[in-house]
Amino acid sequence: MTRLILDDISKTFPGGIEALRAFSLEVAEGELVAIVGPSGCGKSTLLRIIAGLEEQSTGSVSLGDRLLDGLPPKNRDTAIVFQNYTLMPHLTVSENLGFGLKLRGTPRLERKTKVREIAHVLGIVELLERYPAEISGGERQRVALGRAILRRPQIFLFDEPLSSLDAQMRLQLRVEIQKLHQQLRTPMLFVTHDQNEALTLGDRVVVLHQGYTQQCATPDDLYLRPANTFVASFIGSPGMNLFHGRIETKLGVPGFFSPALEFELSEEQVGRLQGRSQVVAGIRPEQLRPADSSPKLRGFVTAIEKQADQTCFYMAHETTTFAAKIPGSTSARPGDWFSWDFPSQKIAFFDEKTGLLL
Amino acid sequence: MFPAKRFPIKKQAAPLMATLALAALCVAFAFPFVWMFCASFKSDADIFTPFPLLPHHFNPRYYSSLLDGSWIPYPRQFLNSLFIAIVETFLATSFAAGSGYVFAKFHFRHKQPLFILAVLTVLIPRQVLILPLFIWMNKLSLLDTPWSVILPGAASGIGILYFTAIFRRLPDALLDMTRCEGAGEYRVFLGALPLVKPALIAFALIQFVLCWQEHLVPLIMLSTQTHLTVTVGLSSLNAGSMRVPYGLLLAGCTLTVVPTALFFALVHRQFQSALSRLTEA
Amino acid sequence: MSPRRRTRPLPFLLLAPFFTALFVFWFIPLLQGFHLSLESDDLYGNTSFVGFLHYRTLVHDARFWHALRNTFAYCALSVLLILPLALGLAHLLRRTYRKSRALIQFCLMLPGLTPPLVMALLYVLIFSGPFGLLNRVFLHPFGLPNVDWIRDPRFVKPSLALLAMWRWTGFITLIFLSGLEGIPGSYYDTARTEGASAGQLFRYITLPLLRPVTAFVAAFLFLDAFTLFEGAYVLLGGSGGVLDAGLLLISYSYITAFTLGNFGSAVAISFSSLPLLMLVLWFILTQGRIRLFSAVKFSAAKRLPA
Repeated sequence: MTRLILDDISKTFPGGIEALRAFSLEVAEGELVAIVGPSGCGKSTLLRIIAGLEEQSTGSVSLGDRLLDGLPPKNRDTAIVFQNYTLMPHLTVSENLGFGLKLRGTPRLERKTKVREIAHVLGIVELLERYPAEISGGERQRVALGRAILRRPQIFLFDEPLSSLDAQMRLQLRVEIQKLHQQLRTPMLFVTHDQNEALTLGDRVVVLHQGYTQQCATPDDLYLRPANTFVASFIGSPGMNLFHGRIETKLGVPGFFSPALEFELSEEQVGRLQGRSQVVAGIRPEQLRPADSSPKLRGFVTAIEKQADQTCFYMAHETTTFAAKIPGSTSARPGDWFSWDFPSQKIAFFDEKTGLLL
Repeated sequence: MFPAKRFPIKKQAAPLMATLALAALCVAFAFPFVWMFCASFKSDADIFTPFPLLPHHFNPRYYSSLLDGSWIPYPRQFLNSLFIAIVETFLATSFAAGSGYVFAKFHFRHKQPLFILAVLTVLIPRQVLILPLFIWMNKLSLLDTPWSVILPGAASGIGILYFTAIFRRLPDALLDMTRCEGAGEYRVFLGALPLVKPALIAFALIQFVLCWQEHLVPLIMLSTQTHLTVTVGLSSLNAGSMRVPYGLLLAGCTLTVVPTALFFALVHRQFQSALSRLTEA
Repeated sequence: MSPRRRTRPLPFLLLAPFFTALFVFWFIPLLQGFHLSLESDDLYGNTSFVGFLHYRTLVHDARFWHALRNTFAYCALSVLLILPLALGLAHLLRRTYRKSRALIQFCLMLPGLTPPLVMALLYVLIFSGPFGLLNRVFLHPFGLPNVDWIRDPRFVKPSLALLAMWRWTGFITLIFLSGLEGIPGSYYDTARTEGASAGQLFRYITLPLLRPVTAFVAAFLFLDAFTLFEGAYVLLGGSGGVLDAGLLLISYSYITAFTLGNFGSAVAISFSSLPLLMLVLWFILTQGRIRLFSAVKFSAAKRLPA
């Protein structure tokens, strides 16, 4: 069973930049793990280390039952697809597809057959004699995908392959990759900065920030039980609203107090907070509903975003900003004073200093 | 980029070996100049003992005899070279930049043949035309003046190629913005120039160096000693019938090399970016 | 791309200086030269029209063909020496310590910045002159006999080629360096994961992508060698050297004009070399698939993608 095991990988570049810290991960056969995080968080570095293009400072990489450390890229049995500049501009599509085969000494006829086969699968047969400059971005990435497939690797590494494509292309290729994943069952590591993509494609998702793993879980877990404030606000569009506030007992009832948000705490919640006086409360925009009775969350509308079947409100109250998302449309306008209702039992609490989920 | 070897020893060896190999070559390339510099200060007997490099007695007399014009009017020739190089550079750069802008940004009926014509000047260089040029300059009464050297160099075919490529890569959107704000075409052009400043500087640099080094054209066009350029003056020293002290020649060489070497050292970075533009173009 | 409005004066104003200079100082001399080459060799003013006499004479002039062969041999030698060397140096330069790069570049560029005249003088003084450094350092240690680099007819052309190499290697290395740095790293990365060895990387990625640069450099070097006068002038004093081994077309032309006073013939010499020069340059540039101008494509077949 092909498994990729990354054990305590860290990478410090000369000059002191720590790109990755203590990264560990296991990717099982047939799994697509998405790695997501803002730019510069070390995602690409990770892929390069696995492929052998970069050497890790500590830790080890094993694929299947082989230790990959010390092996040059060509012996690692990986295939990598980059965001751009993947196809050699001076070769035709078919030459690009067969490039790896040619390097490895595959005889010409066999090469041709295999190239044709994969071109059929990916629907690019008409493009075979064209040059990369003459085809669209989506088609180029398809060719890159084809070349990776021909490699027959033990693991696919995708480095933001869809990021430079337009929205429609992106969706099409995403479907292709998913199909590929279903068919081949080869493990895949998919790096992206688009959390939507990560959540859609990944069986599991790793959230990276500044070299550290913030959380590694299924998309559902990430959404419902974010491990810390970073993950909470990163996942979701828009991400979870975070309110910094104090815990005080007024009139014998413990409650959460902040400029925009106030509510009573249940016993269970008090227990969770363990006597903290300052805490961060989190509510997802999708959990909010327009309020009619005693408003516990209120503010001025600063902007309204009408999406196809949803409306997104951007709110502000004093120094706090938050967002809300409701199905359907609204007659509210920017500048209106608006109040929101929320399910107080579902509120997430995070430690003020560490940001960890309580 | 080639992969650095995996094993620590080899990884550190590669840059070291490369540096050593290049250093050896640098020594080979630069040694003559170092020798030239040192030997120009040596006494006559010592000149041909290359080692030790440094002179026993530091003797700048050849420099002084050059600079006070006792052999050839060197200072005057130096100024001539400077004048010619500066003016020719200015003309070549501005002519080529202006035309490059037009070729890149405008369409008109005879564009293609005109461009081909401009490029043809690269294939038929000045040196080939030197004789008819000589006669023509004579007819124009420009012979023996700096202009006989400057003007033939004002139309640079390579300049057209270079600046056309440079301006083509300038996004039209930038220029259109200025147009929409009501600027006339003249203003638009002037506004485009700062955007290509590095390329202008780089080209001017290369032009200057080439002009400074010109030999054949000034040799043929200029005759009076006080009108010669430095390079021709030097060669006249060498080819002259009297035996000229080697030290003098070396001093002359050093003085001729110094301006462009200094120039390069100062604007090294722009030069590098100029080269990268050249390769992209 | 351009606004479709009525005629604007600016484009023509900008083109005017260049094309005026071109016309007056290139085109007219070109025509005059051609006319001159059709005139007899008598002193100025007393010439008569002789048609293609000079050209026909040249066909039978052994010296001319000798000069032609010499020139092309020396030009080709220069290019073939410098190109691989500079490419190799560029690779080396990429691997050296960052901090030493500037100094190395300066040392390598130095010969390119000096007037060819000075270079030739130095060359004579040092390499073959009174104490022949070239012999002392490079030949004697290996047990090779003394070589007279200037007077020995077998070594004159290599001398000139060495001069060219000394002069241009630095500059060309820097050009190749820029070219190399312009190749996106991901091409190499992809190929390496596909199983490419260093040699394969060079052959399938570096060389093809450097093709336009290489062609440009080759054309530049060839042209420069072809029109270089100072080398022969200083080394051989404007003559052809022993057995005319160093006689270049440009020297031959110069001699014919200024030593012998035969202007008509001299111009005919210059002009007859033109077709061959242009042919070679055209060939080189086409091989490089350089897209000079979208309408004036230098390659007929495959287009170099952006």
